[in-house]
Amino acid sequence: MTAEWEIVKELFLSTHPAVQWILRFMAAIFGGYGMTYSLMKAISLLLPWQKHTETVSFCEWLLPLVYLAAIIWAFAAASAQYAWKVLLSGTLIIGAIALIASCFR
Amino acid sequence: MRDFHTWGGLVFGWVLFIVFFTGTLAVFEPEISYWMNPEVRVQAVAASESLAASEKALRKNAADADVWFVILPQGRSSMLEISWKKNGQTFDRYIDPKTGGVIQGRGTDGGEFFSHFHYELHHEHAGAWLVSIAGLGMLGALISGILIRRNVIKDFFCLRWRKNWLSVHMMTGVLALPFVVLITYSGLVMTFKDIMPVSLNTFYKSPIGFWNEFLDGVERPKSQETVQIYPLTALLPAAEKELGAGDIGFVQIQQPDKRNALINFMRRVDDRILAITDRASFDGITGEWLVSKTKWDTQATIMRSLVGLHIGKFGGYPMAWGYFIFGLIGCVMIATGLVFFTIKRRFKYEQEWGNKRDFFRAAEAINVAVITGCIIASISYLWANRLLPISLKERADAEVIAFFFIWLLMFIHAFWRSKEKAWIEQLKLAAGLCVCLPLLNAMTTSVGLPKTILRGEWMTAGVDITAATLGVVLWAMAWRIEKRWGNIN
Repeated sequence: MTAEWEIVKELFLSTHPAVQWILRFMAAIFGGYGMTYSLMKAISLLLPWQKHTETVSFCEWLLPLVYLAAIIWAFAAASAQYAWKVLLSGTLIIGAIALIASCFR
Repeated sequence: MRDFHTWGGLVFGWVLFIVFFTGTLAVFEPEISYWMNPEVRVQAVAASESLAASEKALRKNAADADVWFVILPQGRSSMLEISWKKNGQTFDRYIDPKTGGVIQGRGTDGGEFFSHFHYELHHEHAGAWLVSIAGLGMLGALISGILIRRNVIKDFFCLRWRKNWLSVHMMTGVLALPFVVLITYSGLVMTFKDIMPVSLNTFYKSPIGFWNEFLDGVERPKSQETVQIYPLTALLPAAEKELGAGDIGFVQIQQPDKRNALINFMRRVDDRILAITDRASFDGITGEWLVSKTKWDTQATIMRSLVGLHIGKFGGYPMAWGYFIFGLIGCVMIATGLVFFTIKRRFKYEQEWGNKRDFFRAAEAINVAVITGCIIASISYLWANRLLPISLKERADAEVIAFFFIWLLMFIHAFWRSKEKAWIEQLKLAAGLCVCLPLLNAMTTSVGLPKTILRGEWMTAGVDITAATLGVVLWAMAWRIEKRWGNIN
């Protein structure tokens, strides 16, 4: 088991430019998706507006901007691994906030 | 940033060219649909006459339907259409406003094919996801493109243009920048609300729940008793008082010819940016006015204004032509970017062997297949509309199959021929098909170019003339490329 794990670890920690680009690409699309989903969920639950249709409409035009920011950041971050770290932990932390907020709704 | 622009641009550039090109064609959806339905030609009449004819036609053709819908002639579209929903299925027909009879057109999707294709790629959700990610890539590519060479905007306005591929790519990019940013962003707002409705699913079980609350309409339980509805023509004055004289675009009748019938008159959407139909609701049997909704909340207005800016139905022909021309400039930006990728690396890869060279050769072939292939497929769709037999079953599907089949042939051609021959031959084929479209039209229908110009039927004539003009441009490109490569070879 350790031999295969070494190969996988080497791939994920690689600094080869092509691997870095592909990892950043994955972070942008999938990490970005997670980040966007949890952030939009948290915003929907935390906005104090009375009319739900207003909250939904607001989130509809905000979502692409959030996803775009995540994508750009994934390519501007110091390394692909760092991009993954931040996007994943951001997703989890903001997701936890959203979960707590949903208990109060 | 440079790597992101180069490789992100390549990965998404192919999808983006297809989206942008079919989207640009979709600007003229009413005209293309009108051209593709040469049997549907009627004189314009007053709204009250159209409503009477529609009611007659709906009662005759859609007796047991759940919802009746009338689409009145508005803006650039002069056709009267009825539609109804029965057992979850939607049906629609074109109606002669003088007699209320159904006009038998040829089975075709018309321009609607291009509208749907450009955001769904014929694959509903999966296609919409690919288009959305590519759209985000587009915005990222625009930002990274500017960051790579910050002087590009200054160069553009100081008119420091040169004539090589990179210059054309950068200059068309800057020229179309505001338009492309607006279209891409508003397009993303539209697709993401369908494929990633995070906020909607937080509060509502389904989009229907959201729309019911958004439209704030009257809801009525289903009834079985059959009663004839109040005549639509009689309600028209009251509706126009609420929504504006001459501004009625659509009429929806829920539970038609039943006790709890409800009639909604809706305002047109083609004379303002806000893409919402203001509505006036009337009781279906007594004709009593119930409620009107003409005021909309802030966020809703922002959201629907973005939608309105994208679909660009406002502003009549000047705006439509503006969108079309800037759309074509956007297509040139994407196409020159893709071509520049292969040119920049050609000398580097000509010496290489093996995988790298194969990939590069494939990228060059895919460029041809996507750019000229999409153009040829689109014009072939119009050719198929004229050439396929009218009595063919599933004719609309057959036209779409022709689109994809011709595109597949162009793909094979692009990989089979050498790069130079592929470009020149496909450009010439595209040019030939475009230039000969008016000829084909005149030979196969009664709405040929000389007749439509004499009658002043500019919607049909416009399609012919625009296609021919684009054909001439494509021919000029083919000729220029042939001269340049003829000298080198």
